[in-house]
Amino acid sequence: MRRLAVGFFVLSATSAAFAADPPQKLSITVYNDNLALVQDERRLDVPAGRTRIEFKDVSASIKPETVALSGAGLSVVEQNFDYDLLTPAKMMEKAVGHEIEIVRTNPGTGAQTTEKATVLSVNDGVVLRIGNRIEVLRDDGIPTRVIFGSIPENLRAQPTLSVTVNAATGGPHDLTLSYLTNGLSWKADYVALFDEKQSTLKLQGWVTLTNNSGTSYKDVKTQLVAGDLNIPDDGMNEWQRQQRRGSVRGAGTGGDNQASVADYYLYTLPERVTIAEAQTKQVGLLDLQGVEAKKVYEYRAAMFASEQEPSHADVDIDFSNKGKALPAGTIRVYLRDEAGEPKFAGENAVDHTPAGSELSVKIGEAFDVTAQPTLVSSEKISRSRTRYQMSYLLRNAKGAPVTLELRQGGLWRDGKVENESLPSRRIDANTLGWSVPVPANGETTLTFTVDSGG
Amino acid sequence: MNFARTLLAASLLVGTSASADVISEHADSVAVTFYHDNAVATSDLLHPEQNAWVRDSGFAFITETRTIDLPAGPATVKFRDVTSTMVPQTADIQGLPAGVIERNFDYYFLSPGSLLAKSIGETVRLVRTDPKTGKPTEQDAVVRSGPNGAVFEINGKFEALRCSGLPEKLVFDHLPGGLADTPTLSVRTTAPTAGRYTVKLSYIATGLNWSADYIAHILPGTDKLALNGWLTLANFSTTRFPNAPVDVVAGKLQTTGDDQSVKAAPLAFAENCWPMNIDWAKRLALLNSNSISVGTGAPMAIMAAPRQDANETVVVTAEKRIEARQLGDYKLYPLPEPTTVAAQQTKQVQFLDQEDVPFERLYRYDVADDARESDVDAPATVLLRLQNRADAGLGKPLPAGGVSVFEQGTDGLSVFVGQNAIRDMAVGLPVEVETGRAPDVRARPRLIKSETFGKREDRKVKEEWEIAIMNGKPVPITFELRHDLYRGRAEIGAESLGHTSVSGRAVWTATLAPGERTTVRYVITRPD
Repeated sequence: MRRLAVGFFVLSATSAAFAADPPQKLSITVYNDNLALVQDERRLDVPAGRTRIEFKDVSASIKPETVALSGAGLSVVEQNFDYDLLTPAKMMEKAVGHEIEIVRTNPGTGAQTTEKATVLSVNDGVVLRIGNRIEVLRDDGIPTRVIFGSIPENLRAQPTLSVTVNAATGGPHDLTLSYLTNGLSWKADYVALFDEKQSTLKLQGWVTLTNNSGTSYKDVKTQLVAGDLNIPDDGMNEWQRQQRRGSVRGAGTGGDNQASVADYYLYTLPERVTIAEAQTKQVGLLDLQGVEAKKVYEYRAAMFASEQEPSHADVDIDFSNKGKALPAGTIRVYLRDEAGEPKFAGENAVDHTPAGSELSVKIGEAFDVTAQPTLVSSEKISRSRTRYQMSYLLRNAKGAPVTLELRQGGLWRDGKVENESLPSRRIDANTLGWSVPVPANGETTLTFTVDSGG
Repeated sequence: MNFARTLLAASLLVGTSASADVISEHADSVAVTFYHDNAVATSDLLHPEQNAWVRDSGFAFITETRTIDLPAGPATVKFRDVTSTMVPQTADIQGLPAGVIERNFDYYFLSPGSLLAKSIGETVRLVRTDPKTGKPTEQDAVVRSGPNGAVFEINGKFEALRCSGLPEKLVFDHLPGGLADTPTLSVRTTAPTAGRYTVKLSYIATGLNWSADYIAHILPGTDKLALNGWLTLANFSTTRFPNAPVDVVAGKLQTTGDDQSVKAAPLAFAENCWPMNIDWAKRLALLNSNSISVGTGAPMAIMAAPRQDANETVVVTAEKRIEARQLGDYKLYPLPEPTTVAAQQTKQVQFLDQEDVPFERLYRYDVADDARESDVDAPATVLLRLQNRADAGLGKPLPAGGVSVFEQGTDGLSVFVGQNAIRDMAVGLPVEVETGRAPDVRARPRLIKSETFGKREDRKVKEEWEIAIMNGKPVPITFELRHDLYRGRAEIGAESLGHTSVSGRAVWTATLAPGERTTVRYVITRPD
């Protein structure tokens, strides 16, 4: 729970400063990558003329350049974001030229003597004028307390936004303060319990909101925007984005009824929530039962080459998100062990996925299903074409037969299969695909010869 | 059965109307499943202070069983004392009578700094001790600034904490709100009826890791070995898992790297006092050496260094063996009985004990493509080859790990003869363990002729190779000579010994009698 510091009012020649009341209506729109829009509506009694209003409860990670204050009958004269933190050292620096009190304690008797002193300089030590002599503070090591009469203006225990406004008339005004802040992020976390026998998935989605902005927000209407906004330096490079896209094999046009804003999906939390400082908050997003899903073993080779060791086949879970768009996040797949207890079985990233898309989520590698390619021969046919003879030894140590999806890349223009031990299909211009059955506790050798094209 | 203490208290939460707080102090029981991203060497696990990454490269799936008494209506259930390295977004709760409205993990942990930060504007007690009499005096003070240097207010005047040189401290009458003294996951739910419920709370926690090791004892005078497999479980977290069912998942799981526990840096408390207590001699020396200024000083962190437990306990329990089970396409090794995984502890259990596993001992030499006449006989690699099949004495899944090989010396004592790592080995795969180089078995490759023929793109190179191989041992050996076939583009022509092609290499296998020296000759034709 957040506590509001009691405001101390500072009067200057031209303006009176107000510590603003806590917000009456707070709403926050959180974007995926460390950004949020805070909208803060409050009613404030503002006298006519110039007034400085202090907001102590704004986000500590506010982007001051994005602050906008608006209200009927008010114009903004100037706004400041002060983050000169109140510390003992800063207090002493600001006391230069001012009078302080020093209290010395006699180490022998414990007797205290109080004197007035003027701070002359704070520069690798504090130089004081006491009466008509000049001394360095605690030069003799004798315990000396320093008492200040006030806390200087602009030194604050927490960063504070102050806005000077000009009001046409005095009285209550409705103000809207809006700003962008860092430190708030959200993503989706999916729990997928895969039942291999039933070929179904139980898919639960959670919105995970993290608050590292240094401030708590009470009773907030919270909206979440899903989509990749262009934000310079959001810390995510193109490679990471592509990794995230990897799970979507076919984008759907299923049309979720989810509200959208511009080109992005918008999720509104069902009730006002309190987002506490240093908190991870999760709210349910979706709960889908009986999603059709299947497990696929896959091995991909990008080129024609031998491998000295067998490689484990990838294990993918393929499913379609009918009717529900999936905001970007992490999907964690669970399987039941022999005792029926769900156990973690791997996780992968999911990009923003429209409803009705085909997803293929790699959860790990099969211990017992391996593929080992051997380049038996390669022979130049012409300047740019090569004939490759490949042999794949596919092993299955499981007690049940499996089908391994083999993908062979590396074909060029006019590339073609000359002969093969099992029929292939063309996945795309560069890739051949085979569905190879491998018997239980057995092995299958796939051989083929291709003209690479060129 | 040890029921968790459950407390029911009126809610102090703002924003949740008429909601009750239900506190679950600890779990009734907990189950732990160990995972890792990649195989780690046990020596690294045992020395985490030198290999900080081992703390993060493994994780565990924790399932806690808790008993809670829920009132009817809205309630906030606080699961206290969850694993310190919990990854909050992975939490899942089963067994609640109604759905979860929201769940929160608060990591604003209690520290001297956070205590002060949360007390800004609060009245606390300032206690000063008279240095002469030792008599403490107390005054009410309002905290005006936080952990970057405390300033407090007494009777409208301001002073700084611990800048006077007097012994002084702040005393707090209660913990400020919002500070967690233990990692706590809280869940909002609405039960239709009051009652006692058993819930399962599961989540991923970091800072746990495991490794596999194999010890092969070559049985003297035979071509068989005894193979023992051990699992090493390491718990780097500060949480103790008492009497827990434990299992280990072997195989490669996909992970995203996002599952990090919340590293709540304890808020440090700095004494940013004004410059004072000047030592003139030191000051002059510093000025002369053009050193950094001492004045304002960097904040001094009070953060405790991670505890490095030098006395790791290695508990060995070999009485019961573990059979591998299936978890989807991974291998699951359940420990035969519940065990206590203590904080900062390393524990070892045996999972494999195979007697009389036949093996083949080979000596191998790989001819490098660029090998030219060498005037030194190079030692061959010693290799143990096992067939991982039940009919060949093994037939067990072998999780990736280190293999240490021992052989009995002439005096009957075991001698360590080498160590190597294997990858995840499914049943049916040949297992090869290179143990070292044999000084008595050597090879000398010579390229004796190299000529080109053909024109332009079809130009080829014909190479004549002559490899001398020798056995200086008093026993016959099998020698395996290998030559890479230039990514399938090379062909073997005339040869003195027939070759086989294995994974894109030509392999010549010869048996050499004690003291025998022979020469393998072959011709390679390859594109230029």
